[in-house]
Amino acid sequence: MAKRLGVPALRRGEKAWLLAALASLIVGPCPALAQGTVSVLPVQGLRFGVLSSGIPTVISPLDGSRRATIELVGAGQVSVSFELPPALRAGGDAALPLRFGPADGRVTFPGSGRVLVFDPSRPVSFTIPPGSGGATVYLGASAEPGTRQPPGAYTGGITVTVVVANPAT
Amino acid sequence: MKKLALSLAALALAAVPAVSHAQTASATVTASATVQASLTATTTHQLKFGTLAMGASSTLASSGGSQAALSGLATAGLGQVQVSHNSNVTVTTTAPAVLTNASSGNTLAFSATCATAATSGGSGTSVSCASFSFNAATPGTSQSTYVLVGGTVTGSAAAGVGTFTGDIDFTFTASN
Repeated sequence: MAKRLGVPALRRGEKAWLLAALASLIVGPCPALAQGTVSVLPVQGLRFGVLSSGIPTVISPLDGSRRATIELVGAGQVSVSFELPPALRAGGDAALPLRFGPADGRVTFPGSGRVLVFDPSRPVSFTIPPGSGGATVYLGASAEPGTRQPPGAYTGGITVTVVVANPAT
Repeated sequence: MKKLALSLAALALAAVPAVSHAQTASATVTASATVQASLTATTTHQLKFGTLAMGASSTLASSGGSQAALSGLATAGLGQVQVSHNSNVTVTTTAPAVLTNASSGNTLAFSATCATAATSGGSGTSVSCASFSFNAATPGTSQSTYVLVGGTVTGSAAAGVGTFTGDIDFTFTASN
């Protein structure tokens, strides 16, 4: 006498549904997750060097030795935003004003050679195609020491936040 | 049992991650700059003991109640260095122990004294010549501090007559 194995009350169609559902549990996350991962790597800070009181200094985003450089490694639709300090700080209350212009941000895509110019005071969105080698974000800025700027070493942090949105595949 | 199967299917679908989602990553880069100090030093007056009798000693006080006046073109008096600065300043000094007659090579013993003043030839605050410092009242704002130089020359008849000189070297360093 043959005995049924499994769930005897289920018909063939119902079994298929159940197996498909269980299989999806086992398979786990969809491949789109892996494709949409982007790492943010700070490569170089914004280096103004030695400044004189009362003399503004501009760093172009094309200035390879002084611009800030951030590598985005991975792929996906990204939105990049910056927390920009209004001033660099030294010991005590000394502040050295900073200004970021509307063309002080640049993104290059090594895979395609494409260049995107943006205003770092606003978020910028773009797509990093899979297998393109990521993207590189550059920042320039202006430092504006006053005529009575206290001498000293000034620093400040620029925080880069990248949100990766993964469309359905 | 049919209900059970459908419930399991619904549970499984609910457990699958949404295909549209967001990942956030952040990093920080540092911006840096160094504002250099403004610092200049100018000798406004030479230290002059004037004409002394052979073997006579002389002292020019750089501070205190008997503080001497600044030297003139033809009058004895204190030396002075005017320092314009917008930051704190440290000073080191190399002063000779003797004044030398360049013609004869004879020497007279010498010891320097130093003081700082807020105004040219003003009331001096005694400092050690070898190493001293003064501050900027408001960092970033250019101001002048005056370094007064006096001292004692000890007479020696054996040194003979002539002009005896020596250089006092000051090194000023801006600090923050």
